[in-house]
Amino acid sequence: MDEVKKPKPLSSSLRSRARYIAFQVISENKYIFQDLINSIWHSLLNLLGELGASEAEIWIARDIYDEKKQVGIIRCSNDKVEHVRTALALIERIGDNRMVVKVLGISGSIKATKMKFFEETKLTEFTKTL
Amino acid sequence: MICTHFYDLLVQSNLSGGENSIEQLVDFAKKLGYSGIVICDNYQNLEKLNELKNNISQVKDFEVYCGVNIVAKNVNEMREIVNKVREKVHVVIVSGGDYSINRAACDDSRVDILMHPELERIDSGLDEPSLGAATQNNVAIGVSFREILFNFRKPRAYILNHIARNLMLCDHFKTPIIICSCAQSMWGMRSPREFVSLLNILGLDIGKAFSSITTVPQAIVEGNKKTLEGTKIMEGVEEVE
Repeated sequence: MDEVKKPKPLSSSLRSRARYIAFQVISENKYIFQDLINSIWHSLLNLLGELGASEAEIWIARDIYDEKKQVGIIRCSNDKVEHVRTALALIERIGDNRMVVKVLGISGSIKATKMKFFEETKLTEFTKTL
Repeated sequence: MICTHFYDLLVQSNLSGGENSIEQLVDFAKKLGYSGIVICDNYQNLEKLNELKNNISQVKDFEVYCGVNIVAKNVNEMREIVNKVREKVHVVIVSGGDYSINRAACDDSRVDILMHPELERIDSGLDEPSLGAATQNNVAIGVSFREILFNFRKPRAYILNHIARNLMLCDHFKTPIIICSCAQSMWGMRSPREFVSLLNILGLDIGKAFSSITTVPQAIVEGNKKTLEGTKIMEGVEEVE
């Protein structure tokens, strides 16, 4: 029998409901993505504390972040969206680089977030043009 | 239906203490989704105010209004400046903090906004008589985002507590609430929806939080615009075509 490496996913009724926040960073100069993550966590811990941050169930999607457009996605718990938005608004700088995090919108899945706010289209939406 | 015309009623330009020009502030406000901003420089003299008005009149494709932020040492000074500027600008803001100034601003119907009444205080700076007077005279209580942004840990915790208390009192007394960025540079400005979130987590109903950055500032600006144009004769009496 194969070794089981991770637990089975919970059924949908037991899972916590997540929201995906699409954001855009407007900054003076270029910055490193890791510095942005540090700033986000610093702001979250300052505003919500460790308990609040744990309840917010934050996950910052590294692979979705677009360095060119400076847009990314943060997942958080359904009932802490307003708290996370405020924490993002309270980020003032990354190092010496002044910046503003603008929330583009909120959605219920990564796919919908990408389509709504990052202007990604489904391959099935293409039509043949002659 | 929620109004989506957002206004920031206190942004400072490089004419008085600010960092950016009016054009830069307007471009950034457009990017963040505002419908209009008020350039509110700290009152120095009437010449500076006229210079500001001239600069603002050059902006064509965006709603930019002229305002004055009064930072007074005492009540008499505040009243003197209000007398000088009331007929000249769209928005008159009094910078609060001192209790006597907070109370005098609430009692004066010529004042539009009492900004940050809790500034550098160990209490929230407002009481029942002040809020009763503010409601009667239609003076809005302002929340300054800059105060929260540039304070950390213990001071920020106190400020948030005082603001939450003021919001609760304003809600009880039906006093209008306004939130402004009070930005001295464009990097201090934030998207309007983030301000709604801030007020919401501090205990204000989401609908009222929206109106604090949409309908309340819009009503102030448009009411004063009519008065300056001469179409509004007094409260409740207007010339209509």
